[in-house]
Amino acid sequence: MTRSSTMRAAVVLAGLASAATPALAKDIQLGAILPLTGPGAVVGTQEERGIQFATDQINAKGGIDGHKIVVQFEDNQAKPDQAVLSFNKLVDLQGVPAIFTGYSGPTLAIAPLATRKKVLLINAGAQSDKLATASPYLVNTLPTTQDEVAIMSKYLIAHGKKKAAVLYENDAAGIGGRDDFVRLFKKDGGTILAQEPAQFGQTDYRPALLKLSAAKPDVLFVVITAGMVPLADQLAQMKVPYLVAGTSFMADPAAIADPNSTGLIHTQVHIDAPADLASAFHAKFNADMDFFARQYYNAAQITFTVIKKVLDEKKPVTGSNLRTALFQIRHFQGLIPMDFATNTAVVPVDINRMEHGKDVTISANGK
Amino acid sequence: MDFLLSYLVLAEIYVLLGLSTNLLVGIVGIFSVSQAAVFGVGAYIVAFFLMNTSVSFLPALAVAAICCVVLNIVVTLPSLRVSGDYFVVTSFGIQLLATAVFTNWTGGTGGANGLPGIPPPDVFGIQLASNAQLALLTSIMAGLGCIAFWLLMRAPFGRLLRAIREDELAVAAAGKNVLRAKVSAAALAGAFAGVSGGLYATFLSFIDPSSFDLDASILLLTMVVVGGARTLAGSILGPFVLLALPQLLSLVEIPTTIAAAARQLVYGLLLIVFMLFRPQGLLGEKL
Amino acid sequence: MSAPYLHVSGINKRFGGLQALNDCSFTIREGAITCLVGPNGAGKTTIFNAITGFLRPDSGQVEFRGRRISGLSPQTIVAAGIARSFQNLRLFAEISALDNVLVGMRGQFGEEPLSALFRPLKTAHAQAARRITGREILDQVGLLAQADTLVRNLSYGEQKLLTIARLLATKADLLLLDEPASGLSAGALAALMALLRRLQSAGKTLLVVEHNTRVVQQIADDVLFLHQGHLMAQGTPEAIMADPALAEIYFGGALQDHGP
Repeated sequence: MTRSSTMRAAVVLAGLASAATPALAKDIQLGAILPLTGPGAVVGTQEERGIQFATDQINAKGGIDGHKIVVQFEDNQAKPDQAVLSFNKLVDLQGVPAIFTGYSGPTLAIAPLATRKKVLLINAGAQSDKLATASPYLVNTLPTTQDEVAIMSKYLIAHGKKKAAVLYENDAAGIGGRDDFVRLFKKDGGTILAQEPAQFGQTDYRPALLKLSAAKPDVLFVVITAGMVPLADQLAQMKVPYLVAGTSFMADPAAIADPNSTGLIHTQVHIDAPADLASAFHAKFNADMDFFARQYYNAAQITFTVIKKVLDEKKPVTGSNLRTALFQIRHFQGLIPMDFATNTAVVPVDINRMEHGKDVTISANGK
Repeated sequence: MDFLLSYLVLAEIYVLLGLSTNLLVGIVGIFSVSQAAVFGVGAYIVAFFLMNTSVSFLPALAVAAICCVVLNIVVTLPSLRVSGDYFVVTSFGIQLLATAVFTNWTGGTGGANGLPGIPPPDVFGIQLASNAQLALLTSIMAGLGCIAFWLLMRAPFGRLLRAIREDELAVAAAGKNVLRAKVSAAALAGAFAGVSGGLYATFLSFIDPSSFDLDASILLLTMVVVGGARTLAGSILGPFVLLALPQLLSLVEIPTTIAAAARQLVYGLLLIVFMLFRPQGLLGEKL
Repeated sequence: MSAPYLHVSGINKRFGGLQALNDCSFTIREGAITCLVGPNGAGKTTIFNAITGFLRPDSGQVEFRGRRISGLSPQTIVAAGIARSFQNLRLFAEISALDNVLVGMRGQFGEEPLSALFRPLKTAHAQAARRITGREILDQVGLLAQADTLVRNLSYGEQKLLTIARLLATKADLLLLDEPASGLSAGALAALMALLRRLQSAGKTLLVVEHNTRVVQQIADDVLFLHQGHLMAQGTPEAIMADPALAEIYFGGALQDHGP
């Protein structure tokens, strides 16, 4: 035997050995590209904690079939170009098969890359309508704004509220929601009487409300992501005669706690954390487990379930195998039931009414 | 490999944009905080042509460059009447206006949700889909940009612009047409910004207003200042450093509980320390 | 009779409540060194600004070699052959002495971007020639050794000489100098006066704002006495200095600031 063939044999043997013992503590690397600095960082950090919490839990139990899960967090600064860099870094250097993403712009920017590289993207925070069809490899664990608005629009028409005015925030989320509402409400047979913009973080809505009230609508549809408490106070002060409706954006806990918000209705993606989970989370991070933390915790658990299926089938953990397994499982029961008929999960969406400091479900799952 | 190539492509796009900013802010002293808006217009124009017409990439890029030349002259014109701090306020307004248009003109820009699905650039009938091909394209473009900047700066034109920054009145007293020189500089800066915008749109395949807002303009100024104002080397180095910074910071192990605050802090501190101890930037002159 | 070399007639300029120039009229002769004197606030710099196009007079006009130049832009007036310096120098501090001179040269190839970009070799050749001329000009004012020094590293006296070099670069025939001698040491002053004489013999006409009566006596062919924006008197230095009424106005108002 020549020296080079000896070496070749050794390499082959080593390869066989490693292939034969897959359970031998080979970590599974996942990625997460979230806004960790900049204006999106408050949300991004909660998302990071949700994922981290789920990961720590599963690793404490010995990982998935002996594989420890390692999540590499990347900062996209809520910018598409940084997201592309982070994506290429994770896929190129770490070879991750799946990446958690947040924020619409960055997710849309990496979606075509995910298609090309066959990497599964799991979005549990962004709601831009375009995410629904951005890539076969992008799955959304929460409905798009459009889906929520559709539910509210049908509810309003069914309850005889056919003339609407719109108050929207003059930014991505607000304008997207406004456009969806105007389109769907008209399609359902409603009329839009007036629209007024508000700035992010605005605190005085009275001039806008006066103009909108002058149009005499049956319902005021509100799409703002901040400043709900002053809005509720001013609406109560003005004793507006019409119904006020919105999406999950409205469900600011401070606004719900405010008695002045009584009567406001909104769609709500239903996701609760059991008390023991919430308190464990609080103990670890010294922060409440908010909507986004719950969403990403839930998304991480779904991903682990999918990884387990791929491992159980003795297949390599690749993006394409993960995607196939996810649609094969299709129904997930994490914090909430979830059905992946398409890339965007169907999840329970309730219509809630704020009543004296409480948020009461008046129409479960849009029925 | 893709990571390094995509880093190279983005950095080179920002080099072109940095040259534009350096020309205006560093060399002529027109303190514009609206260069990202011009960059955005270039990006949206190229995206429009590639998505809605059969016009190919290079002609689309030329149209974008010409539009940005005109636009940049228009947005720089106030600097001929108001100077210094006053122009910053004007320029700030222009940037906010542009962001409002990008965000609200849903039909043209896709609005706040952005424009996904911009096709990759094609050059002489070849689709440049791989990162290596794109890197070649942006390297050629950035290379041409650097050569142009170098030629301009060593010519009497460059000297005239530097003199205008120091004392406009004295330049007029020397018999020079200050207006024409400033308009020329604005036109060149516009062309650079337009071309880089077109490259950016086709490389990312997705654009939204967040890449062209006030933050982006400020990041651009930071790139120029950190790299080194007024020099070619500074305009090249700045984008490479600033683009790598968030990527490097994510390698630092920070406990999740304080991560966001800590990263933000490190980012800010780095800039402050840098400005205190090296105000002229890595390879530049003091601004 | 041929037209006067520079003819200023009936210039008025009001800034708010201040009549800075009040029916100001005078002529200056070609080839002469004319000194413009008068107490502070007499309107000396204002008349400079009016002649060189930096200020639009309310009324009146300026003619240069028989051509009306009032209302033209500064750069057209420089092209017509009049260049001015500033009391506070206004040099470009962050570039070299030679570059300051080069900025002053007119009609350079490569001074607009297209020729700089697309004819780089011609630009470089033209530059090389210009640099030689620039050095010659620096040599004329005695600054050749400092050609490559940044202006902020030059002494005050050197900077004053450089402002004159920058004027020479424009090839203007009529040079308007705003207090070229102020703040100079005795040695520098002598060098400056010698330079002004050399420029005169080289065919330049000079209009000089000057406070120092000794300097005026030594270099002036003519003296213009300005007071409250109006020409009070014109004559030889001796005649003006001998007039007790003018001395009273001059020293009465300006003695504290400008002793002999």
